[in-house]
Amino acid sequence: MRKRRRKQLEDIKVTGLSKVIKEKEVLKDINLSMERGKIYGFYGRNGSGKTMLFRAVCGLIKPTSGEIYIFGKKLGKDISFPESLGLIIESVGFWPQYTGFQNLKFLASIKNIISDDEIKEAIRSVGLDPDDKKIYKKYSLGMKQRLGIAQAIMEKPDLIVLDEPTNALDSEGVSLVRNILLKERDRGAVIMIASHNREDIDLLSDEKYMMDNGRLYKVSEENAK
Amino acid sequence: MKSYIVKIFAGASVSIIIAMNALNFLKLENIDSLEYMYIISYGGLFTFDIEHNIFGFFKILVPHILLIYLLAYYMYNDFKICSVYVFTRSNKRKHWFIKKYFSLLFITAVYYFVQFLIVFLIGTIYKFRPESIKLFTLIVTTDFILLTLTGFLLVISTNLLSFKLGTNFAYLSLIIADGAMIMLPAALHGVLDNLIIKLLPTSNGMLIWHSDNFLRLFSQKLGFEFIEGFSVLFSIIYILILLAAIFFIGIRFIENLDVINEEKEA
Repeated sequence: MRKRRRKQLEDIKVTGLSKVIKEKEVLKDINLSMERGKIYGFYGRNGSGKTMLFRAVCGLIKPTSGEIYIFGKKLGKDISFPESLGLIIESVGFWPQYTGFQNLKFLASIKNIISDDEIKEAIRSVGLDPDDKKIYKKYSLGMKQRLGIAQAIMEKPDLIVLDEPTNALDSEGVSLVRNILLKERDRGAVIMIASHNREDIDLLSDEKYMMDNGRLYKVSEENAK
Repeated sequence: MKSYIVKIFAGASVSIIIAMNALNFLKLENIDSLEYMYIISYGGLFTFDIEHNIFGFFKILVPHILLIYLLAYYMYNDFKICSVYVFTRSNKRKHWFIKKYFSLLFITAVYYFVQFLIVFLIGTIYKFRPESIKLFTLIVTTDFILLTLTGFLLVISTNLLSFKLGTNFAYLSLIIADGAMIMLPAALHGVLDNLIIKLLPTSNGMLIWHSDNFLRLFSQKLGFEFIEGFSVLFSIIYILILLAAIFFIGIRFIENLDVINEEKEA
């Protein structure tokens, strides 16, 4: 029996991406290809453009030039944002007057593709209690971060974008998140993570990139050393 | 929304001062009519020239300052939360804006309703009565509509501007613009048949500047100035047109807005 050769297509393709904000070029001619079942790590100092790149891939900002294809669909033309996306972007919160579960239930009701049990499972997987009556306003920073991760993975998205996922987490939390990411990768998601913690990048990433002054550089094993 | 409604009730204290001031004035004039109570409290400036009517100027401005202060962050605060987690699950920016637009209108209406209710209660306690139910209803309804629409215009403009300028700057800008629009008629009175005055949004909220027949009686009795040919209907239609324009501009603006945290990422 002949085996059909399956053409490997990039699942996420960024071509010539640039973004100018207030006359400052924050992203400069970014080219990037990503496949399912891999973790892509991005590091760089503050202001290097990591978060801007993530926002562009998520459809939160419109490129000044360039194109982004998400699983064959052009962002800004075929789709406004990736159809199956889980993300954490820094400084984003939830509704302070509701519990963690209530917040995630509201978000899950938008697409309505998962059940309450799956929401609770996602909350448990990040080490929180889904039945906790504490409202989000009273969460610690670590709890907020965990809830954000639960929110990002609960619908089992095809693309997961995590900006500083281990911020404010203790060692147990960091270990938990790393295991979650490896599991999601094995499930076949495309995962983008940005971190100041070089250890996260080195331990988790299948491919590593460095951002500096809006430009993207691929880091080979030789360069990394 | 509940917390905003609570704040509005708390902020209604300014209407007590306005109502008591109206009460004192009318008692000196030996008038005990509720229609006059509303005309004095929320009818607008008696004269275009505020130099001789500083209290009147602040009587118009302070409720605007309070209204914008209470609601300046309404859209921006919710957008900060919704913009990432909600809008990346569905293309709901337009629906979100429409919902916020009309709920802001509702809250503005509640704001003026509470103030009008306080005037009514104070007037009733001091045994003021309507001279004519029909006239009373006409005065209160038209005044309420004009103030709600012009107040909402200020509030929605502040909310949209805050996305570009930041909430504090947008708030200050609108208050300064509002104050200027209240003062400008003094300089523009008589110019181009008062056309510019008619087109200033704040002017359209001044009930007693209108020349409708049901208002002329009050003008004769109290001696305030009005603009010939300036009808309440014109004002309502004009402000609704401005609000419709802002509505469509707002939808387009929100749909194309880059979602960034400028404090951290600029």
